[in-house]
Amino acid sequence: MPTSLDIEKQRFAFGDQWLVAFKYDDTDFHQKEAIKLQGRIDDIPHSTKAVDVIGLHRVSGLLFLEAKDFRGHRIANKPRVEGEVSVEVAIKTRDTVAALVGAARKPVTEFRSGELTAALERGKNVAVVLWLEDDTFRDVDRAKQKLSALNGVLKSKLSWLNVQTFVLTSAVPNRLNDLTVTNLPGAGQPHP
Amino acid sequence: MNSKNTSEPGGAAILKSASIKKFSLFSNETLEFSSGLNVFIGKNGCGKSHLIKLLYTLVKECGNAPGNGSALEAEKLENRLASKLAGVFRPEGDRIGRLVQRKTGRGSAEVSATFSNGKKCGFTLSTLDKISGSKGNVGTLNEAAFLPSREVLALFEGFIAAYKKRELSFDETYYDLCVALSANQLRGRREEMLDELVRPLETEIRGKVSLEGGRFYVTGSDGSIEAHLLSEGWRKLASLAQLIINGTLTRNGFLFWDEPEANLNPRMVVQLSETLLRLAKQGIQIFVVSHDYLLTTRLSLASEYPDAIPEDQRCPVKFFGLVRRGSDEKGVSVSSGSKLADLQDNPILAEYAALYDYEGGLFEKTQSRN
Repeated sequence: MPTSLDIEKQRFAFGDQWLVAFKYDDTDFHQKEAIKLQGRIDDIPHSTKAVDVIGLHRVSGLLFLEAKDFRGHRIANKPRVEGEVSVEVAIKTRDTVAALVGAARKPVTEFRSGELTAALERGKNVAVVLWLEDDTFRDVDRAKQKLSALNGVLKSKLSWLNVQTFVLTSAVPNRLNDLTVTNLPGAGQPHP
Repeated sequence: MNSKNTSEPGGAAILKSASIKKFSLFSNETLEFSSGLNVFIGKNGCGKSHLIKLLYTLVKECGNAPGNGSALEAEKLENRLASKLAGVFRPEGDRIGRLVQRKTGRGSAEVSATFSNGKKCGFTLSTLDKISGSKGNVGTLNEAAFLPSREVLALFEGFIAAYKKRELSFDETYYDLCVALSANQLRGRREEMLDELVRPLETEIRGKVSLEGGRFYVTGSDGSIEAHLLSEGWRKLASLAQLIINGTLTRNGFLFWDEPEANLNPRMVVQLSETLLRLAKQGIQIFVVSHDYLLTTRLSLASEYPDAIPEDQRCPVKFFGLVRRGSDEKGVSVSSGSKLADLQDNPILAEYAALYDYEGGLFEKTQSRN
């Protein structure tokens, strides 16, 4: 069913080919259950991470989507654009996959956990997409080079999961079926 | 930096600009060079190697060698240029007129270089191989080294003698490089600046370079290893170290390097980019042809963030993008700027963008089936 999800300053409109599309990190299961896994190791705090969106498309299969909008605060996020952001998405994906398995083993009703874990089975498409906006992406060729490099890192970090990964931005053709991304008012403006 | 510098009060001149008309693929281009690092990019067949060979010929023949005063004035510049062009470009039958831009009928090329002391040197070359050189003397020019894309350390043994006997079909840049490599290393304690340039290279190749009995060796904690047994990438860096240690590369000297990245792994390319910047910082004027994304981007970042990079790597950098132009694509046009992004056409970046598009297309196909 068509679903619109607002993340930061962008609207992700999933069309009717999407069986499921929801903001996973806003779910009670993540906020109240999965997040309980946290603690300190060697005095470094660790906690459960989560991707922004989980989607299930009739044809394309399962999607884990993370949206990052660095426009307007480029300097603070510069190191993340240069590779760290891909590692962050990979870790969020790892934790979300683990959490889905946990959800399927519990009486969770707020999302179709059994259907989602079934979509993770071998032979089925699973895509992990980082949707990234950055002030430096105005030059499309340079943007593509950076996106390609970021996808190289993402692909490498998730090779264990046997998924397709890709990094997209609004300046390049959208490769996802039946999904429209638009800017909300204030998108790209410096944050106060 | 070494004894050659101190013997030249006022310093030798470096290359400021070049005007090239109807030579090779260049119809009419005037290029203003950086005193530091000059990087040439473009697709294959755009004339990049021809360009740096031409510049090498000019700086090699237009000036007096350091300390020689006007000893070479008596020798005709035309003869020197003609011989060098024939040796460096190796046209069929030494017919240097073949270097004139190909068009129907006769024509002539005009090439002129302007040096930092304001003096000029150049030549006019006809399709009938007739060359005439400009009058006057540009004064002292320091050594110029040309590193071809193939490394020569493994070829070195016996190369000079065989080349002189015309037993080899290599162009003259290989011979010149072997001669330069054969120079004795500077004696005594290495100057601090020299040491700073060479030490990272020696760390990378895990030893010090030496020439013994006509063969190069790298001697480190594992003992002496002959150059032949080293990887080609290491041999390249060893060649560069030798040229620094023996004083070939000196302040106001010239380094021309055709595709230095060939056979280097990415980590060595990073090392190379830092070494090039340090050499340029020490006053060596460098001309590099590259197809490598990592190398060119690292050099561009040095230009984009001059205050953020280490002090010993801060030097002027200029990029030149060569593009085939016209419906027949028989000529090239050149754009330039201090950053890669300044170039009108960047084929390296374009290929990366195309790679992204290609992968995007493949990803999209997987989204259409399950």
